[in-house]
Amino acid sequence: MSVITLNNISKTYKRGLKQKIVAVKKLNLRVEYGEIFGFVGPNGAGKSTTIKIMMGLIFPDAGEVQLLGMPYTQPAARRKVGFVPEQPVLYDHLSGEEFLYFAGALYGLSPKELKNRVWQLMELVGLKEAGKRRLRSYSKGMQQRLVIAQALIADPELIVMDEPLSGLDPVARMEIMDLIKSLREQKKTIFFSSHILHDVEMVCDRVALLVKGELRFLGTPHSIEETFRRELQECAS
Amino acid sequence: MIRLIVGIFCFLISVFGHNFIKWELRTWAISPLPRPESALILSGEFAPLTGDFFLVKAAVFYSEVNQKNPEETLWLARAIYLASYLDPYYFEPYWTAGVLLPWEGRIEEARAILTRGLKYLPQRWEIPFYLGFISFYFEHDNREAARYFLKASRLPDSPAYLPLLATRLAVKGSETRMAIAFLEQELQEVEDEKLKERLLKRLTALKAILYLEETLKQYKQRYGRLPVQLEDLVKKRLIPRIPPDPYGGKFYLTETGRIWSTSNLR
Amino acid sequence: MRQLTAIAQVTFKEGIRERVFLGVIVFSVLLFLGSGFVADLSIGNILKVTQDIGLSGLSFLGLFMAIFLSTSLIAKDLDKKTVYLVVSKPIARWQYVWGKFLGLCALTTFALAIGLIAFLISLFYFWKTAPLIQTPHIAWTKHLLAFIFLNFKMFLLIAIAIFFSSFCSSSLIAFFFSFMFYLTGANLQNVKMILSSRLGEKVSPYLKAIFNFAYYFLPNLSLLDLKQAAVHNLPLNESNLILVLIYALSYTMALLFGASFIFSKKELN
Repeated sequence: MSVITLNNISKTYKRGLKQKIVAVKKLNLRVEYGEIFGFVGPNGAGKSTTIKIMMGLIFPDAGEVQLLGMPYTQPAARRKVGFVPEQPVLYDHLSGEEFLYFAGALYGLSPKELKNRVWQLMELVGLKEAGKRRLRSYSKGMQQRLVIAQALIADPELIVMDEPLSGLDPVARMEIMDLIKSLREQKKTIFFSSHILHDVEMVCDRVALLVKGELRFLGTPHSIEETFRRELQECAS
Repeated sequence: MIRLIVGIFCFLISVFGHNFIKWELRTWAISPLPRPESALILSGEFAPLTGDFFLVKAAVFYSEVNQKNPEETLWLARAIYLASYLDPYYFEPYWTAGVLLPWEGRIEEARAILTRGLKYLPQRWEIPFYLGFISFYFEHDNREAARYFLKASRLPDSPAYLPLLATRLAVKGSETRMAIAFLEQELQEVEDEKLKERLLKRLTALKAILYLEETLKQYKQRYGRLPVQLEDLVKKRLIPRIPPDPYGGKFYLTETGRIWSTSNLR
Repeated sequence: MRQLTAIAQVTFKEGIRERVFLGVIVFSVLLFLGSGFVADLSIGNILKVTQDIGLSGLSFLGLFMAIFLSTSLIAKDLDKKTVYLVVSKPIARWQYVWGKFLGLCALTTFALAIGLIAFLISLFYFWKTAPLIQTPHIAWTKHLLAFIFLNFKMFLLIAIAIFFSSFCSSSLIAFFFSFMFYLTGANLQNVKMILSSRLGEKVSPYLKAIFNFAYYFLPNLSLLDLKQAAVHNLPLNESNLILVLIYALSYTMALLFGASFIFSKKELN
């Protein structure tokens, strides 16, 4: 059983009455346990769309998705999945601590169970001092770290991240990278997307290249660079 | 810096100029009235509050109203009707309709308002009482008046004299006495100074009329017929002089033998 | 269940900590405390006008929160994608809708309760200091009843706001539709009364038929309006009131089920 199974996923957007944009076309993909899987492609390739379909935020026109062996239509499929969306916006007025308790509650955990977890995670992502402050006062980097913390609150088996490194300063980027590596040591599966090949090469076990909604490459990072460059040239022309 | 000064200057101009804009209480008060149905729909659930607002306008205007101007008295009547329409369970408009409007010559409008009131406040004795009084004093329909007074007398807290009044109407009695008793009752309950003034004025006029009516009776008893004109009462030394009409007119004797005034008591 | 309450709690906290909320509360408290002074200016029964201002003020406050605040808070959630972190969790979409509903109801009731306390204080004060000649009797229990029914009206309006927010693309449109729904609902009874009066004879029978048809489907909000009964101490029929409550609750739930269905199909892009 794969952690993520995407079977012939297709999604087309309608702009107004006539224009149709094909976001994803017959995508087939499997992600196995314990691997760090990179999902790359230029902007507009359909990476975000695919991730949103996986997380049940939008619905595919055709195809199936399975998370941890369960169809994605069941909420229970996301019980052991943590999600870090692209450029997340948080509730301004809650404190970091309150937000983590909220996330945990949504996973079905009681406040008692969460008591230790919340502060453990705060420490892990380096937000212990800022825990009681309102989210409005957090910097972008701090917000990103909190979102990662909320993804981990229920000790998930799969963590899905959409462009986790975008817009971060070099120090923050390194910290997130280290975090991803440490998660692999905990035998977790990580699926993340990026449009920067270098980031993906650094840490992934396997990589998929998505261009204009189609899967153009699936393999190890070493062999992707040439294909990537070729594809990008094709895109540019 | 200059912009700040110009800004302050403009502000001062507007403040200064505001003083000169003419604003009259009269124009504020006697604005065009919306149709009752439109007002109801427009104010939705806030209808009673809107009714209160129009009642305020009417009350403010009442102290200024030119009683001789039918346009103004009509506005008053319509404003009271509007207030009553928007909150039919509120007693104050009915009071105004019964106690003030008929004397301004707005009989029909007063009746319309009060008749609605019978439906919404069936336990208030004042409403059929006012209707009875209008029938009696202004329309000289004793039978209808007696019916209303009887209805009123059966309602809780009604004054004890009502049944007596109702029965006395079967007999041709003195209308003026009743009107005087009624006004004296109202005077006790009213607080507004201007209103009190007006009611007192009317009371004075009615007392003068009663005085003349009594004197007429004496004349008839003595000479077997009514005098040709009121001055005859003075000539025959029954009264020293004809009392003045507080409304500025002159009392005279009508063809049907009643006392009235050139001022119409307005 | 826990997930529902969590969403409700967060909705409540977010709402309370908004500066707009604080401003609204302060304003309404000042309004109620000052209502008696305003009533003093007006000619007429000072107590009656105080009660009118107070109850209308509460209604208006509730209206603002139920329609305006609800549509803007939900729109904020959807626009700023804060909803992503909620819907991607192991919860069903309907839990989000009902959770939001409960949170907004708690928020509205909280604000109205504060307003009510201010209102009762000022009413009590003016009752004690009013000149005796004006009717001294106040139907306190009916005022409380009016308050309870006002809350149920607000719940219905919140459900309307949530319903429209679930598919309207902007908060302004959702607000507009919700407000229009409210206006028609508040006036349903009035229009019916006018149509059956003398004036109504001039109206075309087709319009009347359309109206009568719509009368059954639109929410009759004036049923939940007990202001008149409280101010004038009108008699209330208990069994009728219970029927009204059932009506309001079932309409509310119908709207929420509808909103849940629509939201469960919505693409969150």
